[in-house]
Amino acid sequence: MGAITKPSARAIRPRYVHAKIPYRAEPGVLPAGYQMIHSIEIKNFKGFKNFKVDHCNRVNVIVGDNGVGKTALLEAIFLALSATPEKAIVLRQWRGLDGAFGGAPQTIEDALYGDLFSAADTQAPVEIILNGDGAETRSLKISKGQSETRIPVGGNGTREAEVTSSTIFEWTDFKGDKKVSRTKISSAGIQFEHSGVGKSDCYFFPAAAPVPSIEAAARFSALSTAGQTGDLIRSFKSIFSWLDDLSIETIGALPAVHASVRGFKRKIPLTAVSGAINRIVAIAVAIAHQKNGVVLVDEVENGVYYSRQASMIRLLLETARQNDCQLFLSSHSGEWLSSLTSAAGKDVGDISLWRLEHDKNWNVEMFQFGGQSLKAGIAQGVEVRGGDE
Amino acid sequence: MAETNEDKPHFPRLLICEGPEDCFFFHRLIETRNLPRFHIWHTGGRKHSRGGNAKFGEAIAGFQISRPKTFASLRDIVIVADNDEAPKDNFDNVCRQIDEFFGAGSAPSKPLERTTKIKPAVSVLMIPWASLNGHLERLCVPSARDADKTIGKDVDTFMALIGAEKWNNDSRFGKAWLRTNLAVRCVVDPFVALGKVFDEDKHHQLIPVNHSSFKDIADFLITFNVQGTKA
Repeated sequence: MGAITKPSARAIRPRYVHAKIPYRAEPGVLPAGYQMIHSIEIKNFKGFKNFKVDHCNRVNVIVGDNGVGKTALLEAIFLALSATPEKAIVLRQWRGLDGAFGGAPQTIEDALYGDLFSAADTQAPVEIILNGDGAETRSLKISKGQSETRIPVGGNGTREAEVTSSTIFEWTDFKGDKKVSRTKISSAGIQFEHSGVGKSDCYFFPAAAPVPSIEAAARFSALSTAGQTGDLIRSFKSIFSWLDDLSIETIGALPAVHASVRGFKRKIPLTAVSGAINRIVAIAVAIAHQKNGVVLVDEVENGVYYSRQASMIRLLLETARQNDCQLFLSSHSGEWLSSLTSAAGKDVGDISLWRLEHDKNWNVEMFQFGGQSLKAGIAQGVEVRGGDE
Repeated sequence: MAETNEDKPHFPRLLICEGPEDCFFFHRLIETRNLPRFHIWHTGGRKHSRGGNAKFGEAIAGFQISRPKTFASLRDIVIVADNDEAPKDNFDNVCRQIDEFFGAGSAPSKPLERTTKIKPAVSVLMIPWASLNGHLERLCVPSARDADKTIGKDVDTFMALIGAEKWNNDSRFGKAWLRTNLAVRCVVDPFVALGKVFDEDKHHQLIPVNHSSFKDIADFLITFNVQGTKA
């Protein structure tokens, strides 16, 4: 009689996850120690009045029409995983809004935070609640309180008013500890308090903004120092036969990832080789650098040549899997989604498709599908990026 | 009625068959006999490939991802599969796919049974009927024969002359008989596709769907008329 073996985790994963059929818990599917966000609840944030995702997966792909809230959903996760209100300015800049402000403190505060609230209605607080296995279990509440004005007295006659903003950011970490952060606005500038909430920052790659070369170089350097860039470089070399190596070099005393390109004697900054390749390298490095973490990528397919998509996706998926990193990606590309399901192979069950749509009252509703359903829809030739009803 | 997978209204019933020809047949049958309306889908999906009997799960998922709201409001799914020469094996094959999609134990235990263990309820219609060998073509033979009895007899004679009974294969016989019959009777297009026979008005007389041979199927489909459930 043969030995009784425990069914593999893969074997007990159902082939399809249904939007309207009760989700069956699957203990043991994920590798031991793997931490991830399991559910997300968003209230009163940008276009989301009341929004919930119950079953996050390792790879979560968000699709939907322009303006439906794909980027905002990534931003919500990013803010909740951050630790300072300053990230709101970062989000503004990624959206193409200026990071410089003028006017009265209240005007500046409105510019900073007003659009975080759904329909700019600040009466109800913004709430973003993440539930997961570890430090990613946390919540962010953004609410309006009373502003405070401090006017120094004495000195040489200048009376510099400092306004502490009425917008309060309150993070609650996985232990239940609450950390509050407010913003001080004066003519000297804007001062953001770090909330002091612990891990976990995450990486966010916006759709339009270029990847800061210093940040990418710093992550690459950290991995290189730890001897962890070998596999990544080998993978990129297998995708691009003209690429001999990647390394950190300095330009004008600042570090940047450089490529050794066949036929060129000098190393070339990767950004000068290809913006898309530079972005994918940066994403892969961020994934490798963010073990047990979260990486968010808006419009992940941007700039990638069609015949490179499958191999690039395979690289990202493998890197994420090796580093137990959870991915939240948005995409407009059916071609990319098709490549994703092919690249995932037997691990297609690691994928969830989140399709956002506006209902008749302009609320955002979500239809969630498993990787097998996504694969089936693509095989059937139906439009998986938008509903047909 | 050129559309197969393009229907937009919301009906609480979905019928999935093996290929586009079956879709056109069921559209025609339902319309002519004023039967309950179904969304009619086939396993080839929108790629209009041949489909086949191995993609019912994929087709259900394809419909669901394409029309999630409609799927959520479905009360019944009817899967239509060919018996070919192996009715039991083919029925089991469909059930396996139902179980794979909805979970083990979801499939009905026999053809025409409406299982309500899951929502939507699922039934399996094997054609030409229950345990008879064949497929849509064999189902259509009596109607085509009666539509022109002279040619029908001639085709019977032709099949006898070529020794078709020795094939011992009802499916092959049905295809050969119907193809021969249509080639003779369809003057404008001897190669007329079976789907076109049901889709295009000018060909409807070739295989009238009000023939008694389709009564069992019509009677089965009409049972879904009572608020989407079998009476």
